[in-house]
Amino acid sequence: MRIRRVEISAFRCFSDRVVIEAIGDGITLLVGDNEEGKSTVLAALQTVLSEKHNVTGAVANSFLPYGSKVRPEIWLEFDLNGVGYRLHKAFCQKPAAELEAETGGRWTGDAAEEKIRELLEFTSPSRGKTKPDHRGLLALFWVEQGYGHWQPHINETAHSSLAGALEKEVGTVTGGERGRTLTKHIQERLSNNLTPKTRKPTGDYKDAKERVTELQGRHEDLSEKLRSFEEKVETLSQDRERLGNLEADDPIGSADARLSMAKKSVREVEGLEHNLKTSRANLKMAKAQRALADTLVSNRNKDRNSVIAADQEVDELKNNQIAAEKVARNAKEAFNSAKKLHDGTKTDLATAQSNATTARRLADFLQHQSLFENARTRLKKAEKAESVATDLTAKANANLVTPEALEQLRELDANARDLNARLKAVATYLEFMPEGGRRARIDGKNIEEDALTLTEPTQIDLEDYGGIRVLPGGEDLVSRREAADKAVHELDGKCDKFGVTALQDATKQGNDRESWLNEAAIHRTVVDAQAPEGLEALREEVANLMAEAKNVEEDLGDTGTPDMKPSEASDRADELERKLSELAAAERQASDDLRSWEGKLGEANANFAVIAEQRGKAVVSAGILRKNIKVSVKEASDKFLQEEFDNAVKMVERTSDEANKLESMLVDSDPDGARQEFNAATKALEKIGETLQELRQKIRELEIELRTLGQEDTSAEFDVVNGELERATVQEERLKHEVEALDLLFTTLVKEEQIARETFLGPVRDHIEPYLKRLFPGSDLVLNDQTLAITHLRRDGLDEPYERLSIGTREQLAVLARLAFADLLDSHGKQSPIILDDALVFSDDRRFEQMQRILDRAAERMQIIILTCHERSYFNSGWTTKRLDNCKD
Amino acid sequence: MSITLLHTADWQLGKPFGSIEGDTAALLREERFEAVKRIAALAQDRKVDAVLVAGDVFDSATTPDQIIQRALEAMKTYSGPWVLLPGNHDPAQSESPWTRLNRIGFPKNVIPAVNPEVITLVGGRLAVLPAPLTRKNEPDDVTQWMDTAETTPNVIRVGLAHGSICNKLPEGDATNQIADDRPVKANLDYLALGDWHGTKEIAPKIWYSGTPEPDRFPRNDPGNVLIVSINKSDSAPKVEKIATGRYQWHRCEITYGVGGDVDPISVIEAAIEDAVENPNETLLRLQISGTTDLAGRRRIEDSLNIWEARLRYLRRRLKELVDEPSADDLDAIDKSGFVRAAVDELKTMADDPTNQRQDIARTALRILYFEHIAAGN
Repeated sequence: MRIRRVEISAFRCFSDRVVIEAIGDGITLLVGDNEEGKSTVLAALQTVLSEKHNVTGAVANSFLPYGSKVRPEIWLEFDLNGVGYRLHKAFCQKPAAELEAETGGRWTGDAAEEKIRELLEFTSPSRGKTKPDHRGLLALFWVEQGYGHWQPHINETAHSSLAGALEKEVGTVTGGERGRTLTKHIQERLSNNLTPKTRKPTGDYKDAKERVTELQGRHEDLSEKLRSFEEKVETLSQDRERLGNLEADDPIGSADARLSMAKKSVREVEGLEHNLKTSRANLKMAKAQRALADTLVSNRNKDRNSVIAADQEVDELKNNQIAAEKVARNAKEAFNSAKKLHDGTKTDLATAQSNATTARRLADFLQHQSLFENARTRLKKAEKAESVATDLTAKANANLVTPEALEQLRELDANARDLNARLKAVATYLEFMPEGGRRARIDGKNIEEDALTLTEPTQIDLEDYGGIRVLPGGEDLVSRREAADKAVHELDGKCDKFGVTALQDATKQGNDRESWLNEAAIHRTVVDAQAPEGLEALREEVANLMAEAKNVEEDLGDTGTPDMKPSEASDRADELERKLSELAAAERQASDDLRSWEGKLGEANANFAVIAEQRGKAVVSAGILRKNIKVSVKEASDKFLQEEFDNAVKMVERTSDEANKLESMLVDSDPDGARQEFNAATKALEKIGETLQELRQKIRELEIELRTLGQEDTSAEFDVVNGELERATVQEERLKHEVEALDLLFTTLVKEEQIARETFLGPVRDHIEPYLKRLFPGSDLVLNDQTLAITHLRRDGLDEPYERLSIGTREQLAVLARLAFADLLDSHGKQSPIILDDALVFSDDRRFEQMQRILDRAAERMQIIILTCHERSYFNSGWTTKRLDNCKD
Repeated sequence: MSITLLHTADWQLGKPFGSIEGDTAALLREERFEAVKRIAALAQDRKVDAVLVAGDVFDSATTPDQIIQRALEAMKTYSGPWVLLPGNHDPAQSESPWTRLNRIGFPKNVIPAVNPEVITLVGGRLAVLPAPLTRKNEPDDVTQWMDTAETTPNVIRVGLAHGSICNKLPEGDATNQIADDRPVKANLDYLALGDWHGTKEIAPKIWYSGTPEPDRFPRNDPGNVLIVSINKSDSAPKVEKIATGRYQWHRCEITYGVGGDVDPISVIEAAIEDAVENPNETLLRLQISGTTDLAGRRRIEDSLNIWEARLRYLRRRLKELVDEPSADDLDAIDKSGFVRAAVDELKTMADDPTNQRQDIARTALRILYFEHIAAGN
């Protein structure tokens, strides 16, 4: 289609007539200022092509210019598929429609409407105003103001045309809606059996698998039950056979016979054991009787020996009594002698005791007296030395020149010497060397010395010369002299204080003081030697010794004191005490002898009494024994007793032989073996009985169990389950196979559909690519292969969704997509003009300029009409420009 | 002077038919009692001297009392002697239907042959020599005792056994074997056998009666009993086969390929119609092998769905029927577009015998085709 001329009368803002004519191929720029009506031109084109002429109501009224009653009219001339057409429509009052083809066709009214819809593949709304969906391809290529950045509107007609063109180029690569429905259905069938994500069985497939598992379990259970049944049947047969065999062999009878034999053997053993026991008891009794007889014989012999012994004892006691009497007599005599000797020693001892005591008292007196004298002498010496020492100490204490005082004086003297030396150092030293014995004088006195040291102004008279005044100089002569004087004064003061004239005197007095003190100390050493415990202690000791001596003297009384030394008196006392000690020992010996004889005498008397008593008793006892023997002999003679003993010995021998014989027989009969055999036979009988009983019980139980199991028709149940399992397994395998087939089918369909989609959009990409590389080099525009809408701009590997791009970019891409679609349709014989009503208002200068170049290129094959109010922006484009105001009457 | 016997075997009363799903199994189980009733009526009608049942009277060792009682009830019509032999399904074990029969009690004319002992019947003219099985699998020939079994002179000696006759059966167990020269060695006038479910003459004096009511898809001749007339003077007994079965079990195996002139559906229809006289009493095992295009596969399945409703039971065996999608099949799914691309890829896999997923790819194509047809395209 190519638009050639349009004439608009009384339509919306055009109250007058507007004629735009001579619209050529390529680009036509229709310029109009704001509100001048350029968008109305696009509305008029859409109206004349798509709105019914006889439309009424609000739609029709919207065509009228404001306040106008004049009917709107639009004339349009266009070429389509090489044929020129002229279309006229009038609305509202006297609506009319007329289409003429230059080839001769003419249609009016509804026929004209129908024809135009046919030519342009428009569809008719059921009522009211047409919408973009009804306007076929023109809805895609005609862009109203303000919608430039919107997705290109692809209605059903446009989609069909584009898809048709694509399929012509790439073949029918897509399956269309039917293919997609098929894929979806296969997917649904697959997901009914396999979960999409985890790919686990579900639905019928899952049920089939679970059914197989359940039936396998039941199959195994029943199989086991049958196997168990058959085993038990077999066991029952075997047990019955075994029981039959056992019962045929009569094991109970055999065991009974064995037990009887064992019992007999045991009874024989028990008989032997009883006899042996009796025999042993007899032997024991015989031995007891033999022992009794033996005892009786022995006792008789003992009794007779006892009588003999008793007689002998009586004789022996008689002799003993005589000897004891003699011993007692001798003891009496010895006792009397000892008593006499003891009395003599006691008298001697008393005398010696008295003499010794007297001698010791005298010796003690003399000793005390000597000690008293000695102590008194030491006291006198000590008291004298103490007196001298006290005097010397008092004298020394009166002397003030203590060592400390002497030290002070020495320091003062040294100070005075030092200060004088300092004075003399600055003094004037004069040496006299007179001639001829001439004299020098000071204050009229001759100077004897050969030299003088002067420390103060001095007038010296020289003989034969006259006077000479010496004025010693120096900076501090005066202060030195004052210091020296002060030191001398201080020394003198101290000497006065300590009572000395000078340092030499003080030194002497100090030495004297030390000497006195030392001497006093020596005297005190003497005191200490004489009275180590002190003078008072020594005085007390002297007093005590004197009192003690008086006491001893009073004890001696009138006996007087022999003229002897204390040592002699002491020796004499010692001698008397030694003699006393000897006499005391002799007295103790005599006393011991006396007590000894006294004891011996007692013993001899007692011994005699005892023996006399024993003799009496022995005589009585011997009499009794003799009497007893007489009685017992009368009861049983010695011969009788011996015969009894001999008989008992023979009885023992006989019963012993019998017991030995029985014992031997018992050993030969093997009592342990007999009893073991008895026990074994008893157990064997019990065991056989138990075994048979158990076997019979087991058979009974098996019979009862099998009767029940045999009624359960398990084989039939197994057969049914087996059949069900076979069918369920086949069903599971069938579903597994089907699921795998569905899976393969689905994945194959999805893969091929993806390939088809990519193939399908190839031509669109080919047409877009030349435009796109001018504006967005290296990028791809991605379209939805179903809706053909723009989905992404792919730049640097990143997909940027269309909706998130800038408005300027979106309006540019929308124009590019339209140009590509138009190119595609053009190459398949479908031409459609592109009308852009200010569709590039958001583009920057660079892109705007690029878009002009792109439009230039596209215009080589298609008609493009650009409506704009920005004439200056297109000034350099060189496009055919029509100003709207120039198109008005 | 001759005697007439009714020889039957393999009743397997109580058989549950677990491999048959649905109500049919119950009908089949019930019908086996009806077959016994028919046998009793036939025996009564033909005035036979005795009925010999050559083993497997009952289906299992765990047959419940109710089945046993129903068996006795079904036998009532014939008051002559019934000699019942334990077989491998119901061996005379320590606990078995036979011990239960003893406990339940049974009429005098019913003779459980649970021991290898001579049973004298028909006033001493007939000596039945039974060889009962006492376990499922007997390693030895249990008929051997017959060689030395003593009977009165001129009595008719009939052996009764259950097992595989040596060297004479196309298939058979290695156990429970019976020597084929037993009639000679044991001087038998007739050896009545059970275990082989089809009626079969092994030798003039050795017969399998087969089961009186079919119970499996056979390759032999089931559903009969034998009326046996024995005369000492004859060299061989006269044996008459009489059909007693109600339900017909058929095998039908069809093989065809793609693109043949014959319409595959008509082949199937013709084969089934040939095999089936009374669909309501017919159980059919249908095996189809060969190749088919997807359109053919769809038609086959539609046809089988109809037959499944008509027949008492239909067992399909279509594993050997391989899909070979035709160009028309593939075009029918889609001629272009990604669906067609997927079809082509799957077809490549399906045609590649080295591809492990060849079979899955075939099924995938079939699903796609059937989906396409179901969508009404």
